Amino acid sequence: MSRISLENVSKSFNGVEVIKSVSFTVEDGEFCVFVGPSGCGKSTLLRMIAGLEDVSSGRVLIDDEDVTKLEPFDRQLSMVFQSYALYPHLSVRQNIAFALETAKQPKDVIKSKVAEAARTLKLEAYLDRKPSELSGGQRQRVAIGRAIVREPKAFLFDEPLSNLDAALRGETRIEIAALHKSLAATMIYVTHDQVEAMTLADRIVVLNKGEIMQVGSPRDLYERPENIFVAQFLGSPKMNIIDVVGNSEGGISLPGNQPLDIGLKSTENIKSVGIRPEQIGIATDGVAAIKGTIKLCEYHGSVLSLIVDAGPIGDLSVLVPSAGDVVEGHEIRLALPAGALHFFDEAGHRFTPVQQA
Amino acid sequence: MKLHQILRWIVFVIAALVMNFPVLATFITALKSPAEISRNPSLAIQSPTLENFMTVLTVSDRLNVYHYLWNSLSAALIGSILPIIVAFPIAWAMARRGYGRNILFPLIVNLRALPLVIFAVPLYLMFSVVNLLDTQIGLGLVLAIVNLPLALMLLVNAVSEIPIELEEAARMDGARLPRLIGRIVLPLCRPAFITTFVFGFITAWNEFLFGLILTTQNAVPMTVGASFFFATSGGGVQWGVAAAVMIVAALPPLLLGLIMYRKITGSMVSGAVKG
Amino acid sequence: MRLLPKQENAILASPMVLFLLVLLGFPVVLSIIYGFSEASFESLMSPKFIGLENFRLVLQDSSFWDAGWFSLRFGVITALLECVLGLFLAVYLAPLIRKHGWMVAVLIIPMIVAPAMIGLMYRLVLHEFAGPIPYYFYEWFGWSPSFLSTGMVFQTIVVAETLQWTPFAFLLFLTAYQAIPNDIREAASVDGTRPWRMFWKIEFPQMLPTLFVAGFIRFIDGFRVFDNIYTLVGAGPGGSTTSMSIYIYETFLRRGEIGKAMAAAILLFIVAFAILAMGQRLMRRAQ
Repeated sequence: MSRISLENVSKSFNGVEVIKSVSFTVEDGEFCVFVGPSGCGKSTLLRMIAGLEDVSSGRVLIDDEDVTKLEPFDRQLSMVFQSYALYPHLSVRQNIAFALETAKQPKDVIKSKVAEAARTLKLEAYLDRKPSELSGGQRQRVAIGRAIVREPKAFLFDEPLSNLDAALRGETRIEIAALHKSLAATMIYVTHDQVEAMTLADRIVVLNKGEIMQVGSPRDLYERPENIFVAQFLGSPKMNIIDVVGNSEGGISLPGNQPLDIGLKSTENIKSVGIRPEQIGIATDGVAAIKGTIKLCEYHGSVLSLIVDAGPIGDLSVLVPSAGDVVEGHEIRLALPAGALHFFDEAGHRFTPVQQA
Repeated sequence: MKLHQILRWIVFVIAALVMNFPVLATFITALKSPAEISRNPSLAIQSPTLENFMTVLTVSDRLNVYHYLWNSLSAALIGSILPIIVAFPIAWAMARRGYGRNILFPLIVNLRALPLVIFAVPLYLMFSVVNLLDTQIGLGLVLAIVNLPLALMLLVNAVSEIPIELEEAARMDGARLPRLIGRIVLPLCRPAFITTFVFGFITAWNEFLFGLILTTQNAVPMTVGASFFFATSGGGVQWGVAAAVMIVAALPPLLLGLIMYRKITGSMVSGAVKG
Repeated sequence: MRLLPKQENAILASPMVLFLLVLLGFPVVLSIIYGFSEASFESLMSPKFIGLENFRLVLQDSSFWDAGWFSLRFGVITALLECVLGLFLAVYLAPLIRKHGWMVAVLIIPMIVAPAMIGLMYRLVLHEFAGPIPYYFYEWFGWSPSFLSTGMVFQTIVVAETLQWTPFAFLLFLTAYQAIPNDIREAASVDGTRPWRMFWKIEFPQMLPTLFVAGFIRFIDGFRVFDNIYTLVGAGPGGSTTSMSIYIYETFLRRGEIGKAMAAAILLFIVAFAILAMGQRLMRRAQ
């Protein structure tokens, strides 16, 4: 297995730069997920690693070998496509064997590898069927089978679950995670679904408009997002961002001139604060609180998702345990615990303010 | 509502009868005996007989229908298969790489709309030099030119309609161009090959002008042969036999066309709209 | 050996390019040589260069202009008739065809029969003794027009051509009609639109591009007509049905004036190409 590096990789389509000088390394055996909104360039980046898209400038390295100019068939990577891209005229067996036959491997080797893959993926009963005779989940497994038999240097997944229904998606996600463990293979996985990203990844690369927003473990990204984009992209409902101003007492104030306790005295550069919906508390009496009206209350089973109209502050998302008695239209008092706050500067970058003397 | 439905059926029946009238009348005439033809030219046949067809299908000095049929068949096969062979590789390059899309493609597609007679004269001169006049191969080659534009268009469409991911998957699977085309694109284009072939075969079989100019005896196709039959019978045309000849000449494309009419209508429309 | 995409493209293109070079390139060269030379079937191998003389001969030949005028008229009239009839049939029969697909097959039979055969069939059908049409005229009206006489032959071949190729226009219109999303119709009828208004305001505008395409293709085909006219009446009484294609054919094979035929072919090529380019530009603008 292998490590894959990108060095200042850029790509332009008709003068529009869709990938802007991206650099990072996927370590050997790592499960790396590219995530971002549609049009952020995540699929393009994956296809550039695969060799299906030209690289305008920069280098792609596999195990320190420059493969930028190599055709896909010389890179020894496997790819699972969103549409599965199964060859419709070939049987499941022939689909899985295709790459091995291309590589002119001996017949008996092909046979045993196909058999093994079919066993792992529970496809033995379907080997002689055509893809059109399979269910969505089975097709998905054939696509994976086709990728694993050739023992590639790395696996590339391009939104492989987005054509499956919700139940199957969860199941297949777990299968892919198990596959990664058992193969200990380098995998790069593109998705727009943050749940997939969070649950599967060793490391997540968040992309926006062709640029890397942040690279890190799921926990890093969730708890210490580097900027407002990442902070709001991960987590559902998304993080509340409130614009604040410094006040004369050396603290900061929310819109409506309501002071906010941030646990320390420092106003430098704090342009806005962020807080996740589940960390907003319902205030007990006596605690400085934000008053608001419950505009909407969605019942999610274990939690209630609220939209609270907090006057000058605007709407806030709040998650509260569904046990409480919360009624639409009622007043509610919210507390923003100082320890749960994220601070962002003018440019939207997160930083940790230093206590001022 | 009911009335409209009945009116529609009436319109359909009238349209079908009027548009197919020559074929219908010819078929009925072919089933009449010579005596009946001179007595009763109406469509109400009194005593149907296969006599005329027997005459046509019997080899005689005046008419050897098998000779014409064989010429038409061989020339039409060349004329419908050859365009597929020469157009398929470049169709892939045009569909996938935009190769020749700006000049070559429009040029060839426009050939279809030119009056064929423009080519007939120089081709006659060229064939007389290379001894291809009055040969089935020569006629077949020319019919291949006639069919090339539509073949190219249909094949470019067919390749474009293959999901690009399939080719990408094959490239990821290590396939270079020959294997990619041979093992993935070619099999997936099979329906288009069949349609192109059927359409080309019918066009080639029905072609008349080139047969008339480029053949004189050995390679005369059925369409031209049938017209000879009229010409040589002079004043005393045997109408029954003539009608049977025409039915026999029209039958192969007609059968092929009716069996495959869905495919043909589709390609006719796409050929027209995309041209 | 590793091939660049460029080289691969060249290899992929080569069969067709070779085919075209041999079968069209060579004739083009011949056209130019003979177009500017004097040659007959006896002196085929030794053409004598005479400059633009052939072109002068053609342009001064009144039958060349007659043939052009004939083709133009024939093309325009048949294209119009075919489009009107085809449009009517497609729209009027579409509800029936949705349930009975085989009707399409019945209506397109004329297109699958060789035009040359159709021409021959009309010889039989219109024959004054053996043909059913004159027979029924006599039966019902006591007289019959002589369809192939100088006065009638143009109308006759226009009808013959129209009846054979209306199915083509019909087929294009039917496809375009069926391609109109049904929810548009449903939305319009929920809004209380009556059928006649539905056609003119909703369906017809959507079929307009197809109308241009069908009209143009049928005009081109009518303009270059040869087979059915030739087999039905040849050049017609007094040359009255000499289309452009027939003119060139007769000049070449009947009269053996190779250079003149070639010059006429070149002129026709130029005109046809101009019409084609113009038509395509118009169509692109319409779409």
